[in-house]
Amino acid sequence: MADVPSMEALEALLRRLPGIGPRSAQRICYDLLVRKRSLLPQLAAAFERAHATVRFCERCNNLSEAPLCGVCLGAHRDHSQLCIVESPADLRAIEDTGVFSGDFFVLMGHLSPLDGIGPEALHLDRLSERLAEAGLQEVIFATNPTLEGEATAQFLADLVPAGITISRIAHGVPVGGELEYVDRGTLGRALHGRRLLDE
Amino acid sequence: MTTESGDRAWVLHRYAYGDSSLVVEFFSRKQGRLGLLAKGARRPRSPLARIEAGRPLWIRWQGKGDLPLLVQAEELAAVHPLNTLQNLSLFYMNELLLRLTQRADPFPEFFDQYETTIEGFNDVAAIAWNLRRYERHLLEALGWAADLSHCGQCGITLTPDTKWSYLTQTGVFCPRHTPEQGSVSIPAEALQWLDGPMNSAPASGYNAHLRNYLERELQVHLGSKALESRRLLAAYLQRHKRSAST
Ligand SMILES: [Zn+2]
Ligand SMILES: [Zn+2]
Repeated sequence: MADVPSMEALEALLRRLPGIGPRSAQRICYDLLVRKRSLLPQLAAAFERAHATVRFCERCNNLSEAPLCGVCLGAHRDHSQLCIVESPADLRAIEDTGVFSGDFFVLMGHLSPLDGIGPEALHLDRLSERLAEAGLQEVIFATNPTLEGEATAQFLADLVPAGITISRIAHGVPVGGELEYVDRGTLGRALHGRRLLDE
Repeated sequence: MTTESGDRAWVLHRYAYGDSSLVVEFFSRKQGRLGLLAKGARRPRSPLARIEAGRPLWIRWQGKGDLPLLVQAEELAAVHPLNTLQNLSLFYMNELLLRLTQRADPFPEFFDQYETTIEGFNDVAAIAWNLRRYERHLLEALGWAADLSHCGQCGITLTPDTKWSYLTQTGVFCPRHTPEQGSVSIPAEALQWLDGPMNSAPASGYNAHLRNYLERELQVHLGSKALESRRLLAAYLQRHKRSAST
């Protein structure tokens, strides 16, 4: 394909996306360049627009086009509950279950000392502000059910002021997995079956 | 080539690999450190999704080269959730091993000591000295443990009730031969504990001495890059000391 370098470049970029191997990348390229050429400028414009407008919510780190995201601006949120998750995708997964109507905070990662990731990476100053807000009654840690996710919840639980209930989703979420991939029914039950974090 | 019988092993760390797989760094009894590809292990329903640090496993793998394929990982004991201190201590043990050992370098004796250390976590009050014993055993396994029973100058045997001193990477010295520069004083009893079987708690006054001594000895080999897990553990202990005293 040395004579079509633009296509090669496109293929190489596609291969960097999750779930797209070399064969799928090739298929997508042919599809776009042969049958669906009109999609190309639309895709290009959509990518550019997303890049220019999507940012992180100033209150919870969720993806948003405004300073505050749709969840934070929601009229019927229960501000007495704060759910702490690792990523915007995890927030979405919990939101999709429909069983939780409280507030969120996205850590944008988890503690992973063996990868050199410490508490500095987790926006703790802003989390502390959220934890100090009046009316907060329960903090739910919905970090991944991995050793790192567990350690993150335990470590951050210390920051929660006395008198506020701390819980951890657990039930039904397989150990070692990633929240984003857990089916919504299981995740919903996990939220209902959350247990108190004992530290 | 499938391994005939497999090996007893613990997970040291897991890295994401591709969309759904993991590279798992194991510490195994017969092979030492071993990196294996766990295909599909990040899918929640994968039988390999549960392989995590802190639990003994029986693993079998296939192939050779840089990244053999993990074919089976069976949990050998019931898994109890770890509390914060246990969790952070486990990270620390694993980070030390990852930083100081290489793949395909077996330490069967130290493997048993690794297991003993984790068994000792059941008694939360014993975690600190269990970690000190672990550090000393690791130095021994790597051939970096200093002779603690004799003065590095005159050869006199360690005697109780005296203040000895040590010089990192050099040895220990009797009160008469304290090196003029760079040495740190330490009670003889603390050194005797390190030199013995270390199977019961040292007297409480020696904890800080032991921690400092071993940290200095390890730091020489760790280089300038700090251990993140040690920092985290220290931050946690500091926070709890403060809240306990108020
Ligand atoms: Zn928001
Ligand atoms: Zn001497």
